[in-house]
Amino acid sequence: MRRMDKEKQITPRQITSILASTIVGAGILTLPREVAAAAGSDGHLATLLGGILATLLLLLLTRLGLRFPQQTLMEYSDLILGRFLGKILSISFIIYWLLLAAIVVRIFGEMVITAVLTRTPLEVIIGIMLLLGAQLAAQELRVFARVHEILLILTFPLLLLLFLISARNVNLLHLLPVLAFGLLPVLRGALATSLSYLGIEIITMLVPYYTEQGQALKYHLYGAAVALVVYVTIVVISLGSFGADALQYLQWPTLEQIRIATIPGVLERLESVFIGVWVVVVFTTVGSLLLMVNLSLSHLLGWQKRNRLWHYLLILPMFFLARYPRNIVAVELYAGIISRAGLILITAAGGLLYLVALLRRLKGAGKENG
Amino acid sequence: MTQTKKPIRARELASQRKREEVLKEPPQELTGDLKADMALIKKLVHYSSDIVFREFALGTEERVEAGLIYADALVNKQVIDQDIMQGLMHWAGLVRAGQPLTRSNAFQYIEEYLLTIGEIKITGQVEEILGGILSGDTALLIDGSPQAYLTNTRSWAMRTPTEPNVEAVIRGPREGFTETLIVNLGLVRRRLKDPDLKVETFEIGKRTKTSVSLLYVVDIINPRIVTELRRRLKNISIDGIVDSSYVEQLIEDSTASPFPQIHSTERPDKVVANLLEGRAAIIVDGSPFALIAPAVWAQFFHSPEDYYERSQIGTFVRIIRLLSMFFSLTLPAIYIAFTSFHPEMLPIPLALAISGARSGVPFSPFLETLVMEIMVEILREASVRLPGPIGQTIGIIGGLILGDASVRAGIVSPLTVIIVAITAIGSFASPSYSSAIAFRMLRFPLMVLATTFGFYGVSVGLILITIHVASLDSVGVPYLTPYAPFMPEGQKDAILRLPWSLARQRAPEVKPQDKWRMPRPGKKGKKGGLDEENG
Repeated sequence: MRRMDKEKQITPRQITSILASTIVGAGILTLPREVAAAAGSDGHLATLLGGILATLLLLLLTRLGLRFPQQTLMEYSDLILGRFLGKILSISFIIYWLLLAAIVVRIFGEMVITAVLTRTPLEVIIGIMLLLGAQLAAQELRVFARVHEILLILTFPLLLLLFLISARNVNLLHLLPVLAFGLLPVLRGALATSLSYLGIEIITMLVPYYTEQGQALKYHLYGAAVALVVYVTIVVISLGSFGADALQYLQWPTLEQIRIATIPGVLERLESVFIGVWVVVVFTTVGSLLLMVNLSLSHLLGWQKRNRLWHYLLILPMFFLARYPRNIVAVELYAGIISRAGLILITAAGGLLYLVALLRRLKGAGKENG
Repeated sequence: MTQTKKPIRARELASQRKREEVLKEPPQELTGDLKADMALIKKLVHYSSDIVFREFALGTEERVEAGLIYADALVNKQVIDQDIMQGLMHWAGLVRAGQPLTRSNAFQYIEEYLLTIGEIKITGQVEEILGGILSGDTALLIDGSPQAYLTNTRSWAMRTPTEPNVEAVIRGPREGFTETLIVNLGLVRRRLKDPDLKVETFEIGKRTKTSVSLLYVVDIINPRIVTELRRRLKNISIDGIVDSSYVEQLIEDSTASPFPQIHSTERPDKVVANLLEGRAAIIVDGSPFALIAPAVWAQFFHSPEDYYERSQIGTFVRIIRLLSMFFSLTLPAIYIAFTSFHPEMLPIPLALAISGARSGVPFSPFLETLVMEIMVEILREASVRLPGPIGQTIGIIGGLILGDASVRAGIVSPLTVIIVAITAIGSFASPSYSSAIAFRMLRFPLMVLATTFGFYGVSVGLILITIHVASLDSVGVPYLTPYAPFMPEGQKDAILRLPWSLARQRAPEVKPQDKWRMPRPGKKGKKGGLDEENG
């Protein structure tokens, strides 16, 4: 079997980095508004709950992936569902990832042109970001993993530092009362936040490349935990700074929150720094999505290896997809649809594949080496 | 070609041609006929004037013809006169053990009784004899014998070890490598008296036949590194190696990168420290710079001094260097981004001060900074080329007067001068010259990105650099270790410089066979010392 010779090149720590930086993407901009709308002052609880739900999904995907330690999602879905249904699943995943990457890039572009580079055409911002993502995805997998690792070390502390600076404006009274409207809004909010946790499906494509699959579960949980910490911090600070009511009317609450933050006498209005960091956050997500698209595409076309050049070709359709929504309202609308569809797709595919694999007693070749 | 042509006589021309004629297929071995052999070698070196041919005779019972060949400039004449010529011509007259020197026993007799020289090689291969002569050996040919002696008489003008120029330290050894391989090997061996220190010597360069030595400590280094380096050294096929940088560029992993993937140093102490870490060193004859491989990026802000000072100082200095390297890469770009795109980020008094200083300056921040940066680069290049004191003068004139005058003339703002000066000084703080150059170069594309897209552009540029650096390897070791792949043990000697008692393991980046440089904690008994006095 040709799958047997997959080169093991991603270390456990790199798994954590890839997972964390893929999950944390465009979501951090709008998340506080969405949870505030759904759960009011319990937004942070909703975020926490959403994270836990996402982690459960992650556990399912991990179990599934480790059942087939030599294969990616595309490969074992062929095995479990048969070639035809498997292909349909692969295609729907590819479409979903393409759309998701396009919308992430578009949201990024919208924010950059409204907040900092007001006179730069949207197309230029989007184009550069896509090229940057393609440049990352086109690297060898181990280089891809190293970039994620080093950027996580460099940017996440900076991100948390920015949030801490803005924590000066937090009034914890805004977080009260706890559970004023019962559990239902929290649940609804949790569902809304789990959209921000999209990206966990990257592990399904990378499990066969792990150097130490025995530790996969542990490091997957670490990755999810990093994302959870970032998200909860953001929501707590946004809620605490603006209050749930005002928060619902802010287009990009995270940006606003950083905008009002100052280090007295040194720096003010740190949103440019934030955008500098945010470029990294979005770029890692786009790179991961592009890599997934190309990995599955090469499988679909029956190639032995992914063609590096394809990453650059793939950004063409993405560029036009990203340009398609007419304005920011349309972007938000599409973003909601795409992420909902993605959540359903991942949950359904994960659950279905795992159930059928259990029922048909299917197991991948090769044992999990620890 | 402007010289007036002198008429050359036809005969002279013919003899000239004859002298420079290249033998199509020179004979492989000596014939044993002295006259013919001497003539052959004379022809093979094209009658070069620095090769000396001396014929003489010895023998007691019968006349034995002999010939000496050596390169005038590469030999110790005293050794030739006293230990070869004198022995042969003077002492050959003595009859030892009833054995007179005759034509038939001459060859063996000379080796056993007459040549008072330690290192002798016997060979009949013409090519080997030629090679020996050209590296300072003296060839001794005896009539009637198809073999010759190659005696080691090598000696040439050499520099004695002096203080390293490029990598100066305040505290630490003052010796630096010289251009002579043997001296350099001695400098290393003297510091590392370990029988497990192995020296492998290769001859590289079809014409220069340069000796290149690969050094490593057999039971520390990862054998895969040795195999890979040996393979790469053997694969070099070039006419000449003039400096160790030739070897560096021919064996490095990626030539398309501005970042050096092999470390070069002129300090023997640094080489020894790296050998002990499980790295290999390559010393090239004729170059005072030794190469150290594999190299990781973190090494380029390390200096041997970090280990000679107290560990806290070492850590502090490393952070300073890292900062200065970061400044030398990004400061102009950040300045441009601030002034042309994001003045709102600065507190109002500062923003006002900047715009006040910039008022009346006719150029955009980018143009201003670019011109000043290029001026500094020109100054730097000029002062390197000029001899010491003049170079300093140029630096002072350039730095002080030009900067001051251009501000007074209102062409650039004082702030730009400050930024450019910090950038230039920052790039000097890097202990590795070659990595400082990489940052100096990459600064310019970053400035272009900053002036087109502000901080977004700077971010994009830095990400591209990160991707590139992450994609590099040095002899199979990822360039960004111990950060990516992250190694907790490696952090003890990366930005931090922990005291030896805490960093008992060798650097894990190069995966040494023998992990521990000090015994594991708890293995040895209690420390002696003052307590014993009390008790």
